[in-house]
Amino acid sequence: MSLYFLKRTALLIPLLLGITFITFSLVKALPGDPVFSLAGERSSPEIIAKIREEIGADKGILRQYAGYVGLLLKGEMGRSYFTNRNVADDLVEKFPNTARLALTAMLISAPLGILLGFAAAVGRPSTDRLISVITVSGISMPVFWSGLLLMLIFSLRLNLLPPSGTGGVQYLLLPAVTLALPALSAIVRVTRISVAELLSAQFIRTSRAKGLSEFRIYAVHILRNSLIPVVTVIGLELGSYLNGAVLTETIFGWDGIGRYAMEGIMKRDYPVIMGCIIAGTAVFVVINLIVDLVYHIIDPRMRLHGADR
Amino acid sequence: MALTGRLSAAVLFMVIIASLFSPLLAPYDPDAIDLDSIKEPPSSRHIMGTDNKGRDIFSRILHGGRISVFVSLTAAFVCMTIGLGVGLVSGYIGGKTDIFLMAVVDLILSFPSFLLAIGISVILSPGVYTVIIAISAVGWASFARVIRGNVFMLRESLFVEAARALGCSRARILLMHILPQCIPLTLVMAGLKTGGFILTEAGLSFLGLGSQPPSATWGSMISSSRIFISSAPWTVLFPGIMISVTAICFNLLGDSLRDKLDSSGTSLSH
Repeated sequence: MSLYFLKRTALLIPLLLGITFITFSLVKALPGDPVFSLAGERSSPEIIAKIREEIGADKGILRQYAGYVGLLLKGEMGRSYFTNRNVADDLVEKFPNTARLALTAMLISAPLGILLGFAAAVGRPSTDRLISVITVSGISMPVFWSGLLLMLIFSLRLNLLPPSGTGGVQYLLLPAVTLALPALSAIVRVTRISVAELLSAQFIRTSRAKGLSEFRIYAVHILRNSLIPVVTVIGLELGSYLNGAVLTETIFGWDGIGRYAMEGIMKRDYPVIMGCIIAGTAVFVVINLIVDLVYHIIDPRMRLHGADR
Repeated sequence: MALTGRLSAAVLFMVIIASLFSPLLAPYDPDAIDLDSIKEPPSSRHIMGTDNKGRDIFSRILHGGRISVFVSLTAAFVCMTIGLGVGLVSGYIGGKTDIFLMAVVDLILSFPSFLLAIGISVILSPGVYTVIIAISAVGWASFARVIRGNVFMLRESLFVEAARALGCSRARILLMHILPQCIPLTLVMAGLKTGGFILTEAGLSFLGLGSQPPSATWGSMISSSRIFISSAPWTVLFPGIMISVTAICFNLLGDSLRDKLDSSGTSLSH
């Protein structure tokens, strides 16, 4: 058990090296001097000199990469071209907002997705078809468009919720629903397949033969077992919220990392863009790690056949 | 093929034809500014209305579809080609080559895909080809992963063994025997992924990283009209419907192709 945890966590090291190598290549490929891409054009000469030295701008490419990783390890992601603020500080400041949005979206999509997936699997074919229409639409509508439609209906026409801004629940609701839609579809699909597979499983037939009530069979035996793959997809979707956040936060003026990235893109503020990509990927990788570990804990079969037994 | 699959294919065919022949079909010049008819609601003169510069939205959608569909299909083709190449080599040669190639695939898949596409787009000058490169650079990895799994399985099959026994060269086995067997799976993957590519293209255009003004894409039309959503909702509504319908059709087509493939015995589980 713990050996698996160690092994899985150790895999992070080559992965992070690879990821930073790709972001480093992107920084090198940016137009202009890579030192400026990191330091920001308005930085004081001392900071530029410091970064130039730490990254080893005049040395070989491997030395530069090592310098780049060193800077990242120190939490140095450069300065914004325009505000001259430390990108890492900005990211730390805005992260809680994005996390709040993502978690709210998950609170909407996970229970609803499981419910709909369950209904699609055990319900009549017409129910199944209706739900599949919802799921296909959910993954096919661009979030920036569904978000705008929600804003048009609920804020501009019905005046129920504020159209944009950062704040309490009333500000949170529309962007969270927007972000929840594609994830909802993924969760419904996986739940549906998982439940449908269980319906014909041997142990369900056994429970029926034992005379368990239908409620008990569905609520305990099927639901519990079907949730194992669903937990994985919930985790993965939580990570992929970072993709949707750039567009959703922009639409709703939500002051998180996504909008910060968008502002960086608009102004071609390279340190900001790269900082957002690195932060987003780091969160994505950590969530994937947690998903793998949780999967290992909740599925007894994994424990039994785990590498260390 | 299921009815939904046929229907989707028919709609997609119409979208592609309409985009291809947009110069002939469009009633107006898509970029012609007409300040006498700004933000007109849909009418018999302008069936989808006009935008804030008086440009005909229907004409812009037809022309924009050209870029949006062309970019997504080209990206799908590039992903298929790279994915097939890497998948074949990785799956058939195996060993260290396989470990290295799959490590690269894993690396790309460990990025949030849209963020990586943004990163690649910003280093190149914005435009149609940049979007194709950004989508393909991220998208080929999942193709390679699935095709490699399939090649792995085919490698051990009897007909490959027979070919080997007949003295076929490695290249011949790979290209003449294994490659054709991978084509259906690759096409199904393309069907499943192109819907997502449509959305990625729209998202990048929305962020201003795609084709540059004045030429329209569906994503950039929404981006430039979103401040008028209250006074002229049709400017945002119709491009979004086009993106959604096209993506829905690709997804449904992909699903029904996958069902067909699954029933023929090849599994797409990855």
